[in-house]
Amino acid sequence: MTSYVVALEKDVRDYSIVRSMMGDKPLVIWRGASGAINVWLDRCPHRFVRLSAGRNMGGYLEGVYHGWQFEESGKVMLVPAMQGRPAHDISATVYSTAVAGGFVWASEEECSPSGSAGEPCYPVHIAAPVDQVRLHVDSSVDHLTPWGVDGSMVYPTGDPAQRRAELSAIRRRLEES
Amino acid sequence: MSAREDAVVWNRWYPLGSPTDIRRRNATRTRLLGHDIDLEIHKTWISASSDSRPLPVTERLGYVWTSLGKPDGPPQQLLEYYEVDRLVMNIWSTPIKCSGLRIVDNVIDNAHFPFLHPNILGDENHLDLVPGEASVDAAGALWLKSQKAWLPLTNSVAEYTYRISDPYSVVLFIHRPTTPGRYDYLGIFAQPLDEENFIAHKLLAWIREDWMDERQLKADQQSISAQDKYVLERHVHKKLPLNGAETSIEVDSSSLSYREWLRANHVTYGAMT
Ligand code: FES
Ligand SMILES: [Fe+2]
Repeated sequence: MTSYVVALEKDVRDYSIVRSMMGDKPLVIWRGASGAINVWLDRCPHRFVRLSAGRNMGGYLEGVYHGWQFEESGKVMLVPAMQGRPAHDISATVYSTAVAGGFVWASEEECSPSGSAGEPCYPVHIAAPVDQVRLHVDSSVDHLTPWGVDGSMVYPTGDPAQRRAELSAIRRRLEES
Repeated sequence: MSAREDAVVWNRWYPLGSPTDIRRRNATRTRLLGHDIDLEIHKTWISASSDSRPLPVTERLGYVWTSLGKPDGPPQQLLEYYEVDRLVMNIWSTPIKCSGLRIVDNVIDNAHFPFLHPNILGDENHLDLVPGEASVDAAGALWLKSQKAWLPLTNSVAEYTYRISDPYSVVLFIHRPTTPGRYDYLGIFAQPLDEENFIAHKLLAWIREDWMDERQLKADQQSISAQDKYVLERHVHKKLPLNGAETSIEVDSSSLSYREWLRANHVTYGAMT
């Protein structure tokens, strides 16, 4: 049973989204209105778009493509095109999570930071070689506002100003390293 | 996989760009289905070859078309394109990093309008959708007829019909309430560079109206396409899943019909099977 460090707790802020990896699995990490941190496979069950391309609205995570709303349990609570809940349960792939020592831990099984063994998988934006970091971060930064500079629509957060500040912080961190 | 193993994809015509763009950029090299294509720009025409093998070339709908295989006829037709009262143009030819099958899937999907194109092609206060009726015609083309969705631009419900006669292309018919039986057309033709990269060639052929400003129209259509590019490049898998791994709901019927049609035609290039 292996648990991994997947993010720094302080990086997982309200209304924003952190991308990371667990082994070869892409992760989306977000803090919900309850204050709890959720670590999911970064893949929308609908058309397999990255959930991290969507928005953290606090009470739910919104899929960027069709606006599906995922509650903190991972279940789809609203499909806009149906104007309601889907007839049968649809859920994101949710990982077991714990917060300890300022780190966010996750596991495919039961997450237990103390009993963790094996190679820890550090969050890409902290420990990975800078090229790899660029690979992961840039793909979410590119074309952030392909529709122009008026800021009328910005992905992927609930609050455009905050997201812009956050992105410049990530860029700075990349440039420093 | 090698495209040659997929006869349906191999023996088709694909656009390489508009002759104007090719001349302006003096483009002498491009790719198609994993093969390098050399272009030679002559005074009045453009020729293409692959590994010194001359390829068939034809110009239509404002594009230069070629094929690596043996197509059983000319490229798909849209006679209305040549009507005198139409404004026609190539919106753009832009590279996108995923399978070209994905853009067809994107174009026929109205459920994303309120989220990816808010206040342009849809909005969150009008979520009602009427899925299209799927049928296959005698020539084997898939039709999705009379899909309806709210269109903020006109403040009314718009009606769309789609024709998919090649796996990598789709022609959108926008119904015109004022002139029933006539349509405004958008054509989206993918040039698959390989299984996970393509160039989207997008044409517009609308009946000219006084309000139309060519540059504005082009800019608007380009920003819609840029929004689509954002999401197309953020799929976990670059190829289109035909293996049923995705989760679908009722309003995904057009998307499912397209997948069904691809399977029935044994298309595997650019797909996850
Ligand atoms: S792909 Fe996520 S909402 Fe449709
Ligand atoms: Fe779109």
